Amino acid sequence: MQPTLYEFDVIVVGAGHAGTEAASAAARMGAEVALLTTNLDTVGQMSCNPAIGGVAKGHLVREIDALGGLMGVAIDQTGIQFRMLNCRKGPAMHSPRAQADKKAYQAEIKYLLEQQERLALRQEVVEEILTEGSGPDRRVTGVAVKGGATYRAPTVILTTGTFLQAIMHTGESKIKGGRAGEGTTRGISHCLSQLGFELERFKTGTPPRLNARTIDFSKTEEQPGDAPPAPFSFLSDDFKVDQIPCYITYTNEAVHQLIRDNLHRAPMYSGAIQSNGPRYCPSIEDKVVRFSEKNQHQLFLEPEGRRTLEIYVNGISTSLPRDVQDSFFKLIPGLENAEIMRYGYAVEYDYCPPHQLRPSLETKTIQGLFLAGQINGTTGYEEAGAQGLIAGVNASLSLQNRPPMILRRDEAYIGVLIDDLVTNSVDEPYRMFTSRAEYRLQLRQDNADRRLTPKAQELGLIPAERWERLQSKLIAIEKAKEFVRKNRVEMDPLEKLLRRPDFTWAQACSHFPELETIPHEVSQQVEYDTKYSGYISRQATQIERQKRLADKKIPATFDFTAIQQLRTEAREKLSRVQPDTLDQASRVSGITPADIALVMAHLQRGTPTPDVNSQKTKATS
Amino acid sequence: MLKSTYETEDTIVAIASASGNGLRGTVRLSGPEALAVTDQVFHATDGEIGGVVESSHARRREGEVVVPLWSTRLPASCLIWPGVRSFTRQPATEIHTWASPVLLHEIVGQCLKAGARLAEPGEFTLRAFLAGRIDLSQAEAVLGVIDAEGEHQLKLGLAQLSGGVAAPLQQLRDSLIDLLAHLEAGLDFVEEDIEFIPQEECIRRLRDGQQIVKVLLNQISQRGEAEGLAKVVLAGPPNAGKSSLFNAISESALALVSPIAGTTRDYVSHRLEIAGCRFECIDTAGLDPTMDHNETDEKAQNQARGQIRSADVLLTCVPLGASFRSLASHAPQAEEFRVFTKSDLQPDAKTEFLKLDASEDSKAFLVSNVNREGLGRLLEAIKTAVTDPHQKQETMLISTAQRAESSLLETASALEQALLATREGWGEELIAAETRGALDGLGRVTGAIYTDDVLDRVFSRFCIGK
Repeated sequence: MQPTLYEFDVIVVGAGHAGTEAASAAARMGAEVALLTTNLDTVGQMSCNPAIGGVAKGHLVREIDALGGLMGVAIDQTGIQFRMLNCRKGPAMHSPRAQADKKAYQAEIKYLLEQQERLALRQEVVEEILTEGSGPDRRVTGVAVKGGATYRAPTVILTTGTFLQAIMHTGESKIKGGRAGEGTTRGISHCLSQLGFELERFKTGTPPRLNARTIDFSKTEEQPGDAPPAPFSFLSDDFKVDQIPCYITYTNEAVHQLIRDNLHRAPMYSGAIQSNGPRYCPSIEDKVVRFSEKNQHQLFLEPEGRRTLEIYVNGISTSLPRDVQDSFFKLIPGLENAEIMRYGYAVEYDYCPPHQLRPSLETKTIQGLFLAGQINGTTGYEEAGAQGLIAGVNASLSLQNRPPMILRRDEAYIGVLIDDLVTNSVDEPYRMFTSRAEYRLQLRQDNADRRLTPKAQELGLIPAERWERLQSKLIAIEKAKEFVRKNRVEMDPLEKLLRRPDFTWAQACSHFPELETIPHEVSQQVEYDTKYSGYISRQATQIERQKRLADKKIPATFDFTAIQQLRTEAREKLSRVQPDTLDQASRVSGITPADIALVMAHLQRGTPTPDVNSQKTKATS
Repeated sequence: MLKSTYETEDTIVAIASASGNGLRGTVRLSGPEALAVTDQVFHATDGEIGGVVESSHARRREGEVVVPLWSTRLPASCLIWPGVRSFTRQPATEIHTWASPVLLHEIVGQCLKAGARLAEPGEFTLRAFLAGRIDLSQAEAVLGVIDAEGEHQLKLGLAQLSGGVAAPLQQLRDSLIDLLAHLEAGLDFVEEDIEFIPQEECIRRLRDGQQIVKVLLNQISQRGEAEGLAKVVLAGPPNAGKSSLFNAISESALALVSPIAGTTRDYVSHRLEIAGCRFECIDTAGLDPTMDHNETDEKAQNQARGQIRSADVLLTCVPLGASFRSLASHAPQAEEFRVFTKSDLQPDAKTEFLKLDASEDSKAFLVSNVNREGLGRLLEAIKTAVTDPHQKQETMLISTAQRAESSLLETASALEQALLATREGWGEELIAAETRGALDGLGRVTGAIYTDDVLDRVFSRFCIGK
């Protein structure tokens, strides 16, 4: 029997946060896209906490939105509580976070995808990744699915998340699967190994969910949303939400003692789990052991939606056995009678160490194959979405024979994220922090559109509406900046006054009432830009330098082992990472400026490859 | 995170004369602003109109270098390549003057102020290569050595700035990373119940940091004078006659500067010259592992060990007749001479010594400080040892002290800004930015990167994670 054959430009495997952004971005850029998921009812599902954003993650969502992505639009539609975190710090630190109505969010994502031209959303179980050719010419040709059908495409994006060879642990019990109640994807893991990729294992965890009917909220602290709430999407105007509060309660010594008494039954401590978990998201058993001096830990009670009473207990991720989970809640104020609806568990899964990728997220060894999301060793919906979008864009660009879009570290958190992954790989699940971004003062959440929407426009990634909005905003900002430059308060230029941390826009308005007509989104840009201008101009030289190094490309075939004079450590590390540019090479950990000088010298003389005697190659410039 | 890059559009400067020896010293510049920078330092007095910057063709000018440190001017000449005819095919200059390390450092310091930056190791070579002036194998030879030995040399350089520069540097780096971890934890983990570092605590730590930087800068400016000279270190047990020998050597050689007695340092150092060959001679406190030490002694012992570690030539002294214990294992790069002192007091032992092969051993010496016996042979051996051909080949001496100084000044200014930001309540992200700037400065001295260190510290110190 002839297998059924479908032809596409881009195939995306997995419809989580990475897959949905990837498929949407590729389709927006004009590619014919198939988005394949094992279950159409879990598209865009929030497997863990019912929230989007947070410090640094909120920045990522704003950047995804500025590039025309789905996440910001969907959370604005379905959020139930919005808060701007870090408001008491400077503007670069402000970060939006929202609680989502979990089911509504995933329905919204699915609905957005269904409306997208050129995007076929299909329920399929992918069993094999198809390739042709060998060596450096090996390229992907499509995927084979269960039921004897084949999807052919010159590009495939894998976004299969935690489902690779996943095992869930609750106490002594082990179940195969990446998410409670669902199976695992073995075929793809096997296939990746067959294709020659290294795979490693990580673990992560999730907390129990409780029924709100059985919680005594009077014993907890209420945490309301902001009034007024700030939206994620640059498209959302007149933003209004009927907000639902979260609640905070605390663990105590009795709880900690109970956990200590049962530690031997936790898979992380009994030795059943060997792999690394994230240090910034420890299980409650980890917290109790590692921070034994703390006599309480915060727990956030987060509603999972408007039409459900399920409560996500943020802060008590655990893989302790069910009876321990039942018992410890009895000791926590407000939760004494709480009924568990889902038990917490830890999950171990395969990931593909990301030094095997180029900065475009294409794999180094198989042309046309891209990886994005948790498969690359990251955690978080936002980190996944950001990678998905970039992979979708770059798959489309490769079809158009255009160079990939690589965001620099001074341009976007997304740039920092991907550069960190491909340059230094990961040894624990990677989460974004603002401290990872050395240019964070200029990577503000409020200016993501100014930073990135012009790029999206150039790529054809966004509809006209976004571009027009930005254009008029930019004009208004320039006008306001000119006013600020030209006017003085007594002897002092207004610009100079605004640079002072304690001088606000409101004060400027009190001197110049005509400024009051300027919309907030415009005045905010002027005020923030001015506040940080001194710092940003100081960083400009460094950024300029990095850019020049980034212009110095290293051919993919460049053989670092052929540089005899290079230190062994440098040779090994550079060969492993095989950086694309001198700039990337300079960031590989343990590489010294002298190493870079040597590589630079060799690049100038032509590419040393195993077959070419580099010393005899003529200078090219 | 910041790493220096080999950016060819920068104007770079370095001392280019051979280390420690020779009568002429050279400071070399290359880059677009080379002539303009040189103009700030060198003033032509050859009667022709116009400064260096007006030169239209390769030429030599005679004139003076201004030395604010000594409030004086010294004769110098300047080679100028305004165009592409230089070694690097960029505008370049060389200032030739006296071979005094202090003077050369001072000139480089002024060039830095005028907008040049210190050349990275091998950077002139790299530029020459990129300009097609030398071939790949020549460039590789230089860069490869730097690459392989970079770390070693850095450690060595820091060790040479002994009296413990490395330890306070480490302490400062550690304390700043700790401060940064606190700041970052407060910025990145706002939802955790982390108690943010109070303003007074932040100020206290920054002030402590400033204090350490100040001490280090002082120390470096003192050491800088002697840096670059081969170190001849006298060591051995107490009462081995080291100090008498030290005086005898000093008297026999030409003292370049008056002795500096140890106020901050518990050892005595002379800069000497024997027949045109220069070195630094250092007398250390007697090493005595058996003694009970008070704190002052302990410090002196540590100083002595530091000096021994950085020695190029180690004169291990022991009174003739006493048993000899080698210190070679404490001085990795030194050549050890066994010096048997007080030969006049032990005629029997002396006869014994002379009978033995030891007298034929080129590394064993019999000396008397009273009748100066054996001193000539020892001085001759020292001279040969410190004019090691390897040292002469070092054509691009880049001073660790100067590098350290320029980076520490950067650190000092960032700490000043951080303090200001803290006092004025400008926001933790700005304090963090300045603290990072301070750490970047330190990173250029110690070669260490800190980004991961900060996160490691955050996670180990604070219970992060909901």
